[in-house]
Amino acid sequence: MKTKNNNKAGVRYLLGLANSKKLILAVAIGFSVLSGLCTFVPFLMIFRTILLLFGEGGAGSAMQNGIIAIVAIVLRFVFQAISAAMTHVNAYNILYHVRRELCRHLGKVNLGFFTGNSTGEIKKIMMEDVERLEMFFAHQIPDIVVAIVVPVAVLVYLFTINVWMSLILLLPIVLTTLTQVIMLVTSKNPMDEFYWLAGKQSAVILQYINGMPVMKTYNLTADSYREYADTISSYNNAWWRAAKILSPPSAIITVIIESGLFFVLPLGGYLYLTGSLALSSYIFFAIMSIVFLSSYINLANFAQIFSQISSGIVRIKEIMDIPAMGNGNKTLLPTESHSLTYENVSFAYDQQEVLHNFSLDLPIDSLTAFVGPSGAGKSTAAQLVPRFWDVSKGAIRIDGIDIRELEADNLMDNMSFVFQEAFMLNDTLYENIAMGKHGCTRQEVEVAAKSAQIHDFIMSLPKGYDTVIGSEGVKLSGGERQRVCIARAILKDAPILIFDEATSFTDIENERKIQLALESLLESKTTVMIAHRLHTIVGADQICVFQSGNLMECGTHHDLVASGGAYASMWQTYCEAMREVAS
Amino acid sequence: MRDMILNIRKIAGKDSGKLIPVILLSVLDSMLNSCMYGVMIFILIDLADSIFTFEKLKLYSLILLGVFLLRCVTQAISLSKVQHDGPVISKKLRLSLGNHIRSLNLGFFNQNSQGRLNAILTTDVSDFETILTHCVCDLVKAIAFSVFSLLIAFALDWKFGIAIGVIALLGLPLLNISGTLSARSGKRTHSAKENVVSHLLEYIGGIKTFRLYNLTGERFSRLDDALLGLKKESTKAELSLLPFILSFSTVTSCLIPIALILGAYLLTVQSMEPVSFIAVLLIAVSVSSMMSTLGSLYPQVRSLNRACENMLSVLGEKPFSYEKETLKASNADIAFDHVSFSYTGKEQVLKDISFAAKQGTTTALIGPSGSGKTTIVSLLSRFWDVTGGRITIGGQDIRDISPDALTANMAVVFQDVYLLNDTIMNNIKVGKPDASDAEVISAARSANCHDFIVTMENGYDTMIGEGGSTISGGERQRISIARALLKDAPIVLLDETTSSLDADNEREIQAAFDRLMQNKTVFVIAHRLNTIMGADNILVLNQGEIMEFGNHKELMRTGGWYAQMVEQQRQAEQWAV
Repeated sequence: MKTKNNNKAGVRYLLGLANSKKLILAVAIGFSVLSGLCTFVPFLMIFRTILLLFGEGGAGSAMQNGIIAIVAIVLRFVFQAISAAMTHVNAYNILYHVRRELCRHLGKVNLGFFTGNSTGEIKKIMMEDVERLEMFFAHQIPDIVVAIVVPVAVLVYLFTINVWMSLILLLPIVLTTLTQVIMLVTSKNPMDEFYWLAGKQSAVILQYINGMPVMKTYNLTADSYREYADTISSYNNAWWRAAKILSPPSAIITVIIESGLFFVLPLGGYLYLTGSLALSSYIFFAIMSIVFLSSYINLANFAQIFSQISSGIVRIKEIMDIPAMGNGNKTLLPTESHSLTYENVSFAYDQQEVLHNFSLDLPIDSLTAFVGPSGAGKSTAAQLVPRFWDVSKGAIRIDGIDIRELEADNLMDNMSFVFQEAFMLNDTLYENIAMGKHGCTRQEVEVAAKSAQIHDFIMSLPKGYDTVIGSEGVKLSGGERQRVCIARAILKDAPILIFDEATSFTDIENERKIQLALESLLESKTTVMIAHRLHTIVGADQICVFQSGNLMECGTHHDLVASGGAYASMWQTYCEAMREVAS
Repeated sequence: MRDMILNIRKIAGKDSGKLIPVILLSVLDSMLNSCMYGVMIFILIDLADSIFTFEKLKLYSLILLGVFLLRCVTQAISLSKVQHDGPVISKKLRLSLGNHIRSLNLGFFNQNSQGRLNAILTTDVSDFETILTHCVCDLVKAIAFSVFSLLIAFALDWKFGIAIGVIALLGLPLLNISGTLSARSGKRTHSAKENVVSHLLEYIGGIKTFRLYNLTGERFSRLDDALLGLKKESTKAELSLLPFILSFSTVTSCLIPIALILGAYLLTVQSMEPVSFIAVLLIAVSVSSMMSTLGSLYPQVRSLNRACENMLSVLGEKPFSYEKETLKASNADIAFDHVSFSYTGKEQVLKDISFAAKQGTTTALIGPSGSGKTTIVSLLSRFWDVTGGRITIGGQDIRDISPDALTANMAVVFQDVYLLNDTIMNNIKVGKPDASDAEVISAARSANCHDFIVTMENGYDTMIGEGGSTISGGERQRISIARALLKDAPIVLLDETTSSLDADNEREIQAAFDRLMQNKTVFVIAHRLNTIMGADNILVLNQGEIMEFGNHKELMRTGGWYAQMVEQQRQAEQWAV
């Protein structure tokens, strides 16, 4: 029952997706129906010729009938070509539209979505589930209309010739439908098992291949092969268990559909002999029995394919139904400095509160350091500012304006964020920096790279700024990547900066350079620095200590050390650790 | 068609013989099918001769019933048999492919080849399986039936035979063209799809960054362009095929009117009986419907061939050769002797590198990205073989040692930590499958992962990997260190620079690394001054060449690149915002 409702909602949603393209679809279906009707014209011509032959009347000559048949065939395929071209162009437009909407929506949803859904799942929905819509819009809709309209039209015509003969043509359809129902019922359990094992088999293959490097390094390929082999065998057994039940009935269905003559000839012969069927009609029905049933085959797989499509639709809809972050209408000038305020902020992922009611002022152009152990909430507190998540209670304000009242784009224009894990496009170094500012010049990019201390490294590469990084190209170390990100942020030059320091320990090749880069970036900005190495932030305007979601204390290095609280003990541990390293 | 038979024989080997009974049954089924048409023709003849009676009707009906039942039995047997034997063939295929993949060397398993292998083992083998179990019979039936019908047509009037034969043959080249075209456009669509996927992954991976730079939705033009490209290629692929597929259908459908016109002509010149005329029409109808079946089966034959070729290409990959099954060296001294290496054959990644590392020493590899550090470590574990010179362990060329024996002596901790879909316990046990739980826990303690493991819901029995509990990059790293600790191999290869950035937990990770390196012959791609200063040898690389070599003191004295780096580091320690 539930799936039925899903299906219905699915169809409505699907047609909603087609929206403005419905008219094209309707015209295309019209052509499909015309094409379908043309299919039967040649057989009609055969009938007329037979009538002619048996002197039972009928118009034209055999030659004429032949030519009409040829014209009908050509028309049939011309109509079909028009319809197919229209439905496909239309379908791929819809696919593009749906994919674009999904991408746009993904750019607006709460980031929790990406932690709850693996990249693989999102990819599957975007690629496979959306791709199946093509099946629906380009094939299924026209096919089903044709498969219903055309046989019905033909049947109506056949009824005018002879009722009994028409009924017997329906008999195979009734029989095959019954057999299919029986198949569905009896094979439910083995089929469920089969689908489950098919899924398991894919998962095992994936793990077998992707885990191969690990397995080889530990000489464990025999073990992983055993698991692989076992799964494949059980998949094979499940296939056979299902096939044993399904093969005989599906063989019978095929035979029934191909044996129209078996149904028509005896009854027709009887009716002919008892004088209630003309000879020509007898022959005509015999010929129709060959073609009429084969058009029915198209319908057989419909239900199965449709249920696949609609489960994909449900997944697409689930994404589109996630509420997007609201968008305000106020704006701030990105060329001016701004202050930042946390006002009684609490934040919870789902139910679990991870930040508990804290307030904090970050005056214009000040530097604030967030420190604290792993999981204390300092990164989360920083990530609330660009609205990766919205606060559960309280508000974050820039120059007194709640960030939820700002235009989303404007909020982003006012802020830079340098992450620990530097993100890189699989593209040239130039493109990676240039994304910092829309329409920037080559010179601006190089100036930013120089300030970020990455220019010399880039120039040392064989292709300089045009070097492609990522999977196919040069791989950069973490420090180099972070400097590229700093260059990007320098180029953007937004008034609010959040910097997540990447390492707590010494990284011989990069550390000094990152520091120099950072100095250029920090100039006249309202900055939050998530710090792991306390000695770098001793000069901060204020240091905020987070512990298990609470803001414990705030103040300058000097004040906090003097007060002997959480920070003072952290500082002591840190100094000991540094001494240990130095020795 | 010929390719199909050859490919099936190549892939299935002896098992392809299993298909012969199925094929014979299908031919038998087609003959029975033709019998129904035969009955129809007999009825027609009787009708024409006006000797069609109830008696005859009864006889014919009984024959039809018999044929019908016989067909049901034949079909059921042949379908069951092919549903049994086909999957057995594909099962053997999956097993032999899996076994072969296992023998390939590590270097083969980069991201690209893994994607390909996954596609082959899942999609291609399934295609093969589906086609074997569904299409082979249909194809044989369509062909056999067309041949029988053609023979009957010839028997009735050779002119009809020729007409039907010619038209059927006319259609085939069209089918072939459409197949070739569809393969070509299929390739283009496929690469357009891959382009979308790679940009989609980029989009999802960098979503935070893209939001910050207002590059979401269609403003992330790389993805939007890729989507448009996919739309264009898909549409083009469909449209370019249309004329050929439709002209094939047109030509084969024209069998019926041509039979009609030709028959009418022959009738008027009185050289043909009306009964034969109707029989020929009947044959034209059935051949034309069989041809359209053939048309819809043809793409599947093509995709079968493609799948077969992919599978054969994997089976054609050769593993590295080796001579000795075990590593029998007196010591674990490692030497690079004039080693050169190139991935492509053009650009040299390593140029004539020579150095030695004594057993029990640590060698730190440093230098800018792209200088060849990773390559040195990859060559040592025989991901690839050197293109010039040789690498020896205890004087033995590593190319002479079996890959298994080589890896048995090495523990490797690299960037991409792969976790199995299994419990944490079993993921660590990978390092030593017969380890006791206590050994695992002790390794986990040394790798600093015990603490976070016990806080998880099911402790060591927590499922991780795809679909399991999520753990951070730093935690993955430590699990992989625990694996290596458990393995306790004499040679350790490490990569510190790409170790996951998890600043809060960095100290724990570093301490774990330090424990792993104790008393081992270590090669480490280093980025911590600590590791480097403590190393017995520091190898400074630049663009595939050794720039400096020696220990910390020696290199400081020479005042080169390394000394400068250390000086910068000193400055860095003084820095504060």
